[in-house]
Amino acid sequence: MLVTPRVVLRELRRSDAASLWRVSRSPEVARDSWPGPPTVDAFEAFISRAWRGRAEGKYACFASVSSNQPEPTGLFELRSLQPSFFRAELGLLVDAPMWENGVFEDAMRLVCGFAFRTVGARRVEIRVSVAHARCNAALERLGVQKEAVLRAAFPQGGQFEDQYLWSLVSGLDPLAAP
Amino acid sequence: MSLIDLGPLGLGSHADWRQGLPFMATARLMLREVRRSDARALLRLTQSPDIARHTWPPPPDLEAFERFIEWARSKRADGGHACFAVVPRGQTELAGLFDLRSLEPGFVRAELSFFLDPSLWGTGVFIDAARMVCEFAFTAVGIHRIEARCEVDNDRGNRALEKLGASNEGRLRASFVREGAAVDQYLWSLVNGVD
Repeated sequence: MLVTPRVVLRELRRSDAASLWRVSRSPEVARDSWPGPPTVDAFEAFISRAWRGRAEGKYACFASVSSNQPEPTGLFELRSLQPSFFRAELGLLVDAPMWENGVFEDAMRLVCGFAFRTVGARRVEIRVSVAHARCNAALERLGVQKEAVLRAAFPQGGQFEDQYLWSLVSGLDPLAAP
Repeated sequence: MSLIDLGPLGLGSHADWRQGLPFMATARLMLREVRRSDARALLRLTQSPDIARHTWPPPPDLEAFERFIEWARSKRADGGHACFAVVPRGQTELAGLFDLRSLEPGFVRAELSFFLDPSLWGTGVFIDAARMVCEFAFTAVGIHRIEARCEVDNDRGNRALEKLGASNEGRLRASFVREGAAVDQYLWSLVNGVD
């Protein structure tokens, strides 16, 4: 469990399925996310897969609980893109309450500390739709580096939108201190 | 001869390729699904210093390569992977590999990795094979976007991707390791209907 006064990151629990499924279905979140599990039962199955992936050493998924919220309002997943987690992709599911009062920034610091200091990742990549102004601005404030514009990389409304590829590199970026 | 032999399954159906990858051919080469019997040739090729300096550490021995091949075929059956062996015309042994890996469920976005026997570099085999694999990806699988990464100092690899029509989208810091040192890569992409 990773904790600041504003937010707790902890492993997913089966009982998180309903609240996180609701988060994933909210129009504001769904607009910027790949389609999530379609039902609460499917979300429970996703949580079971996440536990297996963690046990196999190739996946880590945290529920994010803001201090003023009774249930998780976000999810941060680290997916290994190479054996031994040299390169990882960070996926985000962030509901409106998390964007307030520095909660997202706290959660990012926690999950990046886990990725670089506990898991030993050397490089973490994040893909965000160019239209997701709030998330892109938050990453920039945190010192995450924008490396590429990915053409037509994200399906949205029957078309494909560009994404930014952001990265953190161990030893180079403040959030990636080894 | 047409650029692509559609094979018994054809490329028209998005589901058929999960039952087995099609055989494809040009005057210079054949592409077919990787087989367990390719393990020895793959082991030999990946131990070549010219290939090893540009690739992530491969399976370390014959048995590990056989397991990789079985894994690749099972992932193909699941709809998330396509691994082609390159066999030059007139030969029977694999001389290269093109590997398409899904980056999301649904195979909308894929990562392409590849290597070729150095004796085939500059012969046109890469372009032939890459074009067929991309056509397969866009037409049969329904992939929308293919990504490939290449170290910034790999001039031959970057030129080949440029010649293929890929777009250089950015420079990825410290995204590859060679002899213990971090190396930057370029990110290249091909987008269906755009490139």
